[in-house]
Amino acid sequence: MKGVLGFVLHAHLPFVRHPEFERFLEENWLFEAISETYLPFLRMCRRLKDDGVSFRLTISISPTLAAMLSDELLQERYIKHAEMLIELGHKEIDRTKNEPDFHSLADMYTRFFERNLHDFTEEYHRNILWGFKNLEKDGFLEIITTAATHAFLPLYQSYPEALEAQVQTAVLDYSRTFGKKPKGFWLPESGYYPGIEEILRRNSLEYFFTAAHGILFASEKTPYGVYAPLTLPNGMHAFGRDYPTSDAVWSSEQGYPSDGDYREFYRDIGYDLPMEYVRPYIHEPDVRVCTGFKYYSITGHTDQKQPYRPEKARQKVIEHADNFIYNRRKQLKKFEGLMERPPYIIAPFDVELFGHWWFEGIQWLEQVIRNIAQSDDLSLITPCDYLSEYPTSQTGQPSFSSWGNEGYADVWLDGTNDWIYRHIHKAIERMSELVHRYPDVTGLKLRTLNQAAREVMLSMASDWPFIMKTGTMVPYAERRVKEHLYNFNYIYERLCRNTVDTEWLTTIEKKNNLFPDIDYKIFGKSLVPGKNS
Amino acid sequence: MTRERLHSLSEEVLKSIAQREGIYNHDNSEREELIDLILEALEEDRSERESINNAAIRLENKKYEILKDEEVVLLAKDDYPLPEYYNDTRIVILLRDPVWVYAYWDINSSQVQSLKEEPFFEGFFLRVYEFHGEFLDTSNIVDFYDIPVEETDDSWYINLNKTGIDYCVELRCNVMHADRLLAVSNTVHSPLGYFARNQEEFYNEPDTMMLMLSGLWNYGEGEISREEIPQRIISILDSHNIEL
Repeated sequence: MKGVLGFVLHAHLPFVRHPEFERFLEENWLFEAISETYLPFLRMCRRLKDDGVSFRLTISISPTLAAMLSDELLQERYIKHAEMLIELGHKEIDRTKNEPDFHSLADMYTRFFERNLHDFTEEYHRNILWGFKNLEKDGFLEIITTAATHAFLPLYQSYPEALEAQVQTAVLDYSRTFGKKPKGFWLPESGYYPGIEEILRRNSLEYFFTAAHGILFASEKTPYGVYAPLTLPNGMHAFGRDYPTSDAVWSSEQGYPSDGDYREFYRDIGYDLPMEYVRPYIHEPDVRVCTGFKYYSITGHTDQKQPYRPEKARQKVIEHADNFIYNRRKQLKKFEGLMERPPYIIAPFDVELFGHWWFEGIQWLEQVIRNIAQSDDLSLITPCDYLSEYPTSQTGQPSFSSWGNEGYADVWLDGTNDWIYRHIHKAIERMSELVHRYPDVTGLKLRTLNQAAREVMLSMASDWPFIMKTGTMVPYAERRVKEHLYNFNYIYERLCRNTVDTEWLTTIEKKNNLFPDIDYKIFGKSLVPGKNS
Repeated sequence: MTRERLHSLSEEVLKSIAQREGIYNHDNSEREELIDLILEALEEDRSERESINNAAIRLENKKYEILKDEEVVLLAKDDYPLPEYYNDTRIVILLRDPVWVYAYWDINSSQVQSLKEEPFFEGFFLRVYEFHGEFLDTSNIVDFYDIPVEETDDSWYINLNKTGIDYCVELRCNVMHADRLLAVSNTVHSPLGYFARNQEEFYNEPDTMMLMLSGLWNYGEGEISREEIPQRIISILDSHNIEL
């Protein structure tokens, strides 16, 4: 049986930009992702293109990530970051000259960072979004969008104006960046609730993705399960995640990235070498961070790690790509006689998994794409390709769902983070109140209200409750929610007193400068909410 | 948190971290011993957090892991205070999953004061309604139950008795053995969390196809372990005593 596979890669980072500091720790999230994922991914696509390999991938680029990738300050800082790593690389080549196991790795990383810097400045002239855009133009990528600040939408279903703001701002931002409207939408964290499709549809979107049980527990029996989209009553299409395909990569025990020959993520010279040596390359004051120079392989459940050997890892990449294809064929065999059309296997991943945490992930993806291109029973297509071939499908209303723990909102709503919602909901209500109070303003008031809308949306990011729950960088996440709410409340109170502080506003505008086309009036739209409101 | 980082911290900060990690009776501990205990507690925390998260969340978390010294800004000044309350009387509920909602509420301070001054004020409670329909009215109520709350409470996780039904919550108080309505929440619909078909059909042979199509494509061959199956689907299997 022939089958079609849809790789859906979700590229997202929260908006982190701190011009008030010379260096800022959490900006490294972006720099590491550019170095280890986005640039290697673009190089992979170009290699495939140059080799005449046919492929189609779907990639969602979040508006906050797009804003950071287009930002001149962060571009400048990335260059400094890359130059710093290259400097460290040359020191490492010298330091390891009598350690052959590590010397070749130091050389490999140094060349890797040099290539990154070259691509960033020479190929993409600092804005790597051009790379993605060109690949879409050439027919290799289908770029989609997601909620403006990646809000976990089910927790805002009583606030349709905020949901409209998240969706419409994302669509406008996408259009400005990519010169056309998006067709697909990545629901942040696959968080779906019945009703959000009305807002998506109103913004000319055609499809989105859900967790498997979003489809399986739909209002109607779904004869194709997750292997064909579900067409909703309003005409939108929901594509469900295929669990076994994702799990081949995700599983912490059996997943490919846990193989002992792959590079160990947690051993980094930022932690392993003396403070005096690494001090210029870590965070002030003497806070050790990952540098990207990692010399050990996973080896196994032991602290006695073996040196990393790229050639052995490369062999595993080939084996694991073959295994992935083998299992998809085995999977397809199970469907013989069950479906009269090819099953569409959707495999969504956070793209930062590839290259950043799983160093060899990009190589694996490339090998899988090459294998599929050579096969006659598998092909890679995007949801739009599928819908043009099969415009009608099973019908029904998906169920409330997400890809988080237990399948619902447990990650984004628990004892560690539930305190944020009373404040964010209040800010949304106050923002709507401001729109009704100031329906048509210009000049300073317009700037103030637009900034208020930005601050409310930034406070809604799913990343902050996620981090509070998972326990990494919690103080920063808490501070960010509080900061945006504080900024909003400050504006609200100043507007109530009719005293806007221009200097303060300008500072905040310069700092949180995303969504240049934002229109605060979007928070005043009276819309029909979903069921749970 | 690395040992080196802990070594660089003052005695006072170390003790505050120890206290936060639930390490008590450490007054007589040697500094090195205290650092050992903190490291052990932090590692336990980390393992516990990892273990409760599914694969999607564990992987998503990797992109934020840039350092081990997460406490670097632990003692940073809180420059962005939030209002303690908004002086409204309101209640909002958020659906967490098919069997839990989170309710938060505020009560206007002058309203609280005047209620407390009434001679027979007995306290606040939540009334949870189960009903079918867009809006709650007397004709569509299936059932309701009350949850007493303290004046100091401002949020509560409410366990739902049924799925596939609508819920809303009223914030009420008792005065002179009679209850008074203070605020009504929004409505949430608790999903079935189940396949759209009857139980008899579930066991029919053609419906094993559904399990296969669900992602349990090698169902019945003994190749699949429970750890590989989405938690939501496991609960369905458990509720029907289906063994893998």
